Amino acid sequence: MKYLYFPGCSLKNYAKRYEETAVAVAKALGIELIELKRWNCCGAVSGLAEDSVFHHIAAVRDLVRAQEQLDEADSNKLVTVCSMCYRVLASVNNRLKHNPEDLDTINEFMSPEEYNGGIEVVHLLQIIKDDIGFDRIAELTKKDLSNIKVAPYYGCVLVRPKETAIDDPNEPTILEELIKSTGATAVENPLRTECCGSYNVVTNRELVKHRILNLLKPIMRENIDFLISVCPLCTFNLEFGIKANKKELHGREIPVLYFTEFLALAFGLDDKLEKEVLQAVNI
Amino acid sequence: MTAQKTVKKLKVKMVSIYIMGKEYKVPEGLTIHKAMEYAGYKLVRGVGCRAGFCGACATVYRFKDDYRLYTGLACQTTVKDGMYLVILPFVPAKKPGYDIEKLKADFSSIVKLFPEVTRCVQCNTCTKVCPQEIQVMDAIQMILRGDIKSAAELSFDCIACGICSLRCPAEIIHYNLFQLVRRLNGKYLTPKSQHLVQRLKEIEEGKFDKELEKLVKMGPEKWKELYAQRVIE
Repeated sequence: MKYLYFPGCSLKNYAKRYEETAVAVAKALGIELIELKRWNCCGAVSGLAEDSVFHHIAAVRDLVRAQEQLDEADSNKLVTVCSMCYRVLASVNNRLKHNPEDLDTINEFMSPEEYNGGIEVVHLLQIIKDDIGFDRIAELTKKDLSNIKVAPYYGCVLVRPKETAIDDPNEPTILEELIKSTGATAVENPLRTECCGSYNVVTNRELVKHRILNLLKPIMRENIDFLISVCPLCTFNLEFGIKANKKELHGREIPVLYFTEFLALAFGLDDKLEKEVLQAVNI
Repeated sequence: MTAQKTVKKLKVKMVSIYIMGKEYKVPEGLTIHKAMEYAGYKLVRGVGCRAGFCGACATVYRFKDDYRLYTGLACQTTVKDGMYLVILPFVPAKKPGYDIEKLKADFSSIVKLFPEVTRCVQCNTCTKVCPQEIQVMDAIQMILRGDIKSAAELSFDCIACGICSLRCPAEIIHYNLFQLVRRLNGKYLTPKSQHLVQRLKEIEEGKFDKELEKLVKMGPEKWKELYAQRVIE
């Protein structure tokens, strides 16, 4: 299946390992991700401001770009990998689909570009679950992960608010199902949908350090091999927080893997993984 | 009488244009520059190569009952009936100095010199107004994601007319920024020409010394003769 794919800025910068493994894992699963020929930043936080449709322009233009390239794909789904990009594009898309006046307003400003509301924004996890199925992950898993214990971490924006949530906002299970389908054990992580501290890492590192320690406390008793994340910013904060709390965590440097890195590992696509990651997980 | 007859014969259609608010009747089909000269203006600023390359004649115009602000180069855009226009001979813009040797071809080098680039709200106005049809906003976005090479390639046709920078709500100075990007691309990201290194080595080793000496000894008359006989590719 061919899908249009929106990478976002983070995946081209400090989260390159996320994109590299996302594309490789998708390919192994029979998903061809066609990167949009032209795309811009989704708008990130400013794209979520709801007081004026003007804030949505960046996201709408990405939807227009997808619309322009739709004939190359087998579906009207635009696949995202970064959870923030997913949230912004999906929220804006929802608003415009349900409010034709807003769509008119924004189209009038963007003229001659025009969005027709025909794109569906999805996250790669949804494609894997709904279009491919977790059974296929079990079939493709080459490594024995039965001794591996991992803790899933969702963060906020993939499961909140409920209008764009890819799973139950309070009790999501999609990552747990994915982990189990590889044969690994998904450790129960009660704080898996708590916020990582987000952009506070820029101005208030102490806050994020403290937050990450609190997030990890409930799962420290479990001897987990690594954490699984879906978001570049969550991963950044988790990695920062684990290093910053080295003393509090008794020297344990728990690796943080993107779910795509975890799948690449399970599928034996070691050449797609960064050396540091491979060394850290040591499987 | 004769002159009037000639004019009648040509049947030139006249159009009304408004140069800085004043109405003039000018022949249809002239460029804005030529129309201004026809109207009696002597062009001193806001004019340069008159061939669409130098970027000196950024022009903005509107039509009555049309809210859109149009842009173009005065040397390339032909007049249309009802055009209200003004040439903008200069765009005030900061131009930070830098030592290219001390920079890296990455986002952080660029953002230190042009921090306003991060203010891009992606309105795409820059792209809409570019007379060179450059995907200006896409080039800015390439910078933001650290893809210097793509930004340099996308902005390659920039003639620094400055219209984008005047219209930008984030006050980005695109053309100075793009010049930096292209310099970084040329210096650090484009493959070095190996034949140049080879040739410099040959020169240093004295491969052409004898030939040069021979030429120096010939004198001006022989040089002229040789110059006239040279092979022109």
